[in-house]
Amino acid sequence: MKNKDIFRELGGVDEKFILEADPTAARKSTWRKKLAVMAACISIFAVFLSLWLFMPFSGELEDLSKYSDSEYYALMLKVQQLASRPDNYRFKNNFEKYFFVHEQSGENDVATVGTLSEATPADKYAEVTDNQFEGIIEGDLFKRSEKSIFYLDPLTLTLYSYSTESAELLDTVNIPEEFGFPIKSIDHNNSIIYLSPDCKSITVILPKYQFTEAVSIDVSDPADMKKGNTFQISGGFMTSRMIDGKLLTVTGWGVGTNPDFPEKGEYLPQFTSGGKTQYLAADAISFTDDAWRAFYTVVALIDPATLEVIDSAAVLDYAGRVTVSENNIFLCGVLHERSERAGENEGETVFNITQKSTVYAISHAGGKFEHLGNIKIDGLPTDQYALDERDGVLRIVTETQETEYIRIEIAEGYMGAQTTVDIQSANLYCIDLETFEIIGSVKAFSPHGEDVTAVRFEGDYGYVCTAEKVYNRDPVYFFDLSDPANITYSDTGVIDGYSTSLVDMGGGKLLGIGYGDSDQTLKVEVYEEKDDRVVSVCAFELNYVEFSEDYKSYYINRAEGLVGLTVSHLYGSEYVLLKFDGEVIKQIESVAVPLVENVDYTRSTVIGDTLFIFAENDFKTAKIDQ
Amino acid sequence: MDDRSIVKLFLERSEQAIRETAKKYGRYCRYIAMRLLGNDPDAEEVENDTYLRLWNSIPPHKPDPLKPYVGKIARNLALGRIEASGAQKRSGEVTLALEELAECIADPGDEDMAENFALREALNSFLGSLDARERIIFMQRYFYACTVREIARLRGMKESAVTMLLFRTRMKLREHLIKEGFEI
Repeated sequence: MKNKDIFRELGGVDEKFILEADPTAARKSTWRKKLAVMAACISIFAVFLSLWLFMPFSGELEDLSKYSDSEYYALMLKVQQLASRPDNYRFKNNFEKYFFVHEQSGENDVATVGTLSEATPADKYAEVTDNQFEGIIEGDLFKRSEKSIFYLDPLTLTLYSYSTESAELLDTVNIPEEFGFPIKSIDHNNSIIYLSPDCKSITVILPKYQFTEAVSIDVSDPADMKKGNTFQISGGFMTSRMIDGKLLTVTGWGVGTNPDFPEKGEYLPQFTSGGKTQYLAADAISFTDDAWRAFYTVVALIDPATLEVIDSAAVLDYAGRVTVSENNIFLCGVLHERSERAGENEGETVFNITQKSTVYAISHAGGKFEHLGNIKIDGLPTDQYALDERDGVLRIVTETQETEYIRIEIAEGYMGAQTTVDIQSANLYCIDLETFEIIGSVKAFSPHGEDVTAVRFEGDYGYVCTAEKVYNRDPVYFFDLSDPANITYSDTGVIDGYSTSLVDMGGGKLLGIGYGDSDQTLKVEVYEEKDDRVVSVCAFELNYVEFSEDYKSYYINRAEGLVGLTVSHLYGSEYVLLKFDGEVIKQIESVAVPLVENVDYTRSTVIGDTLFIFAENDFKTAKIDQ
Repeated sequence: MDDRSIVKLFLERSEQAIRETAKKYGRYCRYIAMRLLGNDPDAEEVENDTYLRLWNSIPPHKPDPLKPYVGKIARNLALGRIEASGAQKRSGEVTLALEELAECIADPGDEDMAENFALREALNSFLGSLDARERIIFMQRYFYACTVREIARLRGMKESAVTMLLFRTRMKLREHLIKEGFEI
């Protein structure tokens, strides 16, 4: 059963409950009635005053021209266009407008609770997460130094520290949860951790309801971890990175219906630090004519030690796909472009809806944000790996959905709709980041109806897997992007299975992790380009198992050709370590682990000849012989 | 025009039925679609599709009262549109509401009609067990996808009080579903 089931089945509950809760039914508060009666009784002046106070607004949009001198004027006009509902005006009259109490929610505060200790043992950071870009650290469930490994058990929200030398549990710290449960955010952004470059502190990111909490844990002595600073970031959590020890957060902030201009707190994203509220400057906010929702995607660079917001920027768009390269942040907002034409039969109108993306680029060079520009392209990138930057060129793979439907007049003035066309295809774009022009593209390269299941860029190459999921078969594409104006590519043709993650293993070899000919078959396959074709070099398959599609749950060691992951089967769970020696891929280790309920939460690494495996409430080590 | 007269027009296959429904419940219908989808063009299409669904379902149905019947259809059509578009059209409030309900049931499993029917019955008995204030706030949040701020304004409460009441109600729902034998 899913939470969606509850949401849907609420639609079938007793009709009296639906009527009773109808928010559109007029509801007047008793204090307003009393106040109006008192005002009418006191004097004629009070009557006139109350008339002025309680005269309902006409519902017309407020004329904002009086704020034309404001640096935010253009933004105010756009937000008003997107957030105003004249038939549901927020302030019904002057009384509400001038006496409505604006509650400051503590959820938006950036507050300090406690301090870190000063212990400073010598240790060195060692990266275990296979980050998309070197130096741009991605949050993960585990991080390590040379001496310790830290794992966040996401179910209990407990941080465990292990010794890399003795493979023993050193300490645990429970992270308090005022709201009872970690709340899942979009994509796979659950609770994650970062280890500071000096290995003295762990920052735990906890996505919460409408805000994000960051908790610092002092790990300077891993055998005596202490809870340190806690601070909150306004807005729903989208993703984060650690850059040079600074925390970069991407959050979402929605404007309420009918904001009260020019009250900044009503229509601008904000941060509160030390009791002082900061609003984003006008030039820190970018928007396009295509903006269709009064929703900001906000990026902020925060110093976890001082809690200072170093810089912030925003786009007026819901940009859920985020990639952070060495120099830039790329935010992708989705929009649906509509067109219409006359249908074949009289009275019919054919509507076409095509999914498009607005890609915004924000530079984060030198710890300062600068809007570089934006561009609209067909389709939507599927995940962070579908975007990449190299030599000033942004490379993107998108998946396009195109729907056509006919509207038919069913009664005078009233129409019904019938979907007639549903097309899905994949595109690749190369965009010059100076001019924001497309300098090369391959459109609709996949057969119609196929999903993009995995994308990776490495050097001059782009790798894409598209799949016909119903039949579990796919082509894998190798794109040569050395000359973006002249993109060439080859593919495998249709083969069994499809990859959900692609890894460049070097030497022209691409490793795909995904499904075989059934949804219960793990298939790890290596590809290479030969005679203008992409061919399979070797493959490993395991039947009747379930495994994670989350790339971060895999252990990848390109230098040693190692790939590790946990699989669940009927009788329990098993950790499988595979080695690709350049010609064949084979299993070199299998470790039984107690039944893992969610394979997404497993993490593993190899240190020396010891394999460390972490899972929910479980920890195992094994000696391996490579 | 009262509901029975509108339903009578539907039964007589009079196009006037749609005009009267739009006049009386168009705003209500758009409100529900707008809350779930978050944008006007989609809400408008859902409203029109609701009239088509009413036209096709009356007869055989003879809803009395008509308003919640219209609301259910509009909500189901909006949810269908969200599911068909792979959640891209889901409004922020629906995303948040779904995240909140994940606290009640976190274990994905097979869906079947019998289980859905049992769940609907369990929800009915749960709603019946709540006091009126809890029930109304729960329905406004999870049926109508109202924001916490809107509910606070409608009910004359502080946002933090609404958030806390919703949290407690969700915990009660979780306990109720466990008692009813649902796998949590």
